[in-house]
Amino acid sequence: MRTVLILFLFIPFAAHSQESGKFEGSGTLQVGLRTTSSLFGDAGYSGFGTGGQFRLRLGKRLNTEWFADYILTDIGGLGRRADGHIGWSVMFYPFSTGEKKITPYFLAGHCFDYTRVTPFNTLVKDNSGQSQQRWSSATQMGLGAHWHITEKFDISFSAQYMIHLGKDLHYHIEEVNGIKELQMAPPHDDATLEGHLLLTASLNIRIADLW
Amino acid sequence: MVKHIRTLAILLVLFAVGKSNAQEGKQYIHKGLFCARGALSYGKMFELSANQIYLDGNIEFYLDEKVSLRGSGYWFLSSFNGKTPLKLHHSLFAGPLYHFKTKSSFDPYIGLEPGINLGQASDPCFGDPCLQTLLPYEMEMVATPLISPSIGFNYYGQKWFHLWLSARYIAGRFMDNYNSASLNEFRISFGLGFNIN
Repeated sequence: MRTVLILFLFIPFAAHSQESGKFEGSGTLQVGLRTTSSLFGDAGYSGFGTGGQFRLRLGKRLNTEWFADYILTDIGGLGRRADGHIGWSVMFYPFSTGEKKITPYFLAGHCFDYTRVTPFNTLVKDNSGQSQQRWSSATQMGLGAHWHITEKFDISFSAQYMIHLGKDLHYHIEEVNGIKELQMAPPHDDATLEGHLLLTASLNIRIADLW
Repeated sequence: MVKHIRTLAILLVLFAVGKSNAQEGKQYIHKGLFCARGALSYGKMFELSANQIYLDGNIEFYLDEKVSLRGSGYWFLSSFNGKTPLKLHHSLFAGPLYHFKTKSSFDPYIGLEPGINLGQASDPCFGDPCLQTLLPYEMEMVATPLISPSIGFNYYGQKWFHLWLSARYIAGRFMDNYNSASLNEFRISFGLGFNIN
């Protein structure tokens, strides 16, 4: 929640956005940094992460985004979940917005993911051998908008739902002798679907016009 | 120490504002301007109740009169006047800054920079008194994602040098093999910077 509030502090940028500019050029290459919140996962805890991306625009209505994210989730103060995403999305612009400050888009894509869940040690118990990990692949789909601050710089906001297909990593919180602990279920190879919502704010700079 | 930093910061702001009002004319910053800066930085951590000192270095490149790219690094030196929750607490930030138009050498800006922290706690209780552990412990070194809104100004008084002040709020959550804690912190840095036009 605090992160969302911080992002809203950036609203003054809007007042200084330029009125016109060419934002539809094919062949533009952008690099950017991103901040991502992971919400509504199966376990109900929200995560926060950082990452980077580059974008290569293929046409007036079509862009591609290639990204990597590193997201950490605090599991009730009893353990942590680390997620690494590396993937790509295709962005489709439904409207012609060459001279406007806001450009909405749809996006869809794929990614590969690494997840590791680690229960914290307690003062009397070493849980370091309890970590579990998995590789999975995912597909994502969502909505977003670029906010053009200048011709070379935009802030983009997106919301996408990502569904992972991979081995089930199941954990739950249990109270043992009055002390809460994160308990990992025994690992098994059954595949399962697991989804979460990703809210991303990214800061992007156009560095080249390739064609 | 904190009082001295505050006083110096206020003096720098007053100096820069006064000079900028006195020198009306053309905006100094321009496309291609490159800056490098170094200073000691003070940080106040909120949840962990720690006062921190860092060695702060950053480089900045202006894409035009409104936007620049800055990369910043903070090398943790020590905690003072209280507890030492973290043994290691280095961080890196990178991102664009938005510069407000002025008609002088005064260059105010705001920014939003994602970052990453490399940290290691001092002990399982972040420096607080807690139960003696029954097991020997080894604290894990972990990377933590951060986000940091920042505000500040530069004052380009000379061809090669400038005064600068930068304040930032940092948000993130540290999680190692024992515990988790908020890394939320306020940091301020100021000093003399170098620029190539």
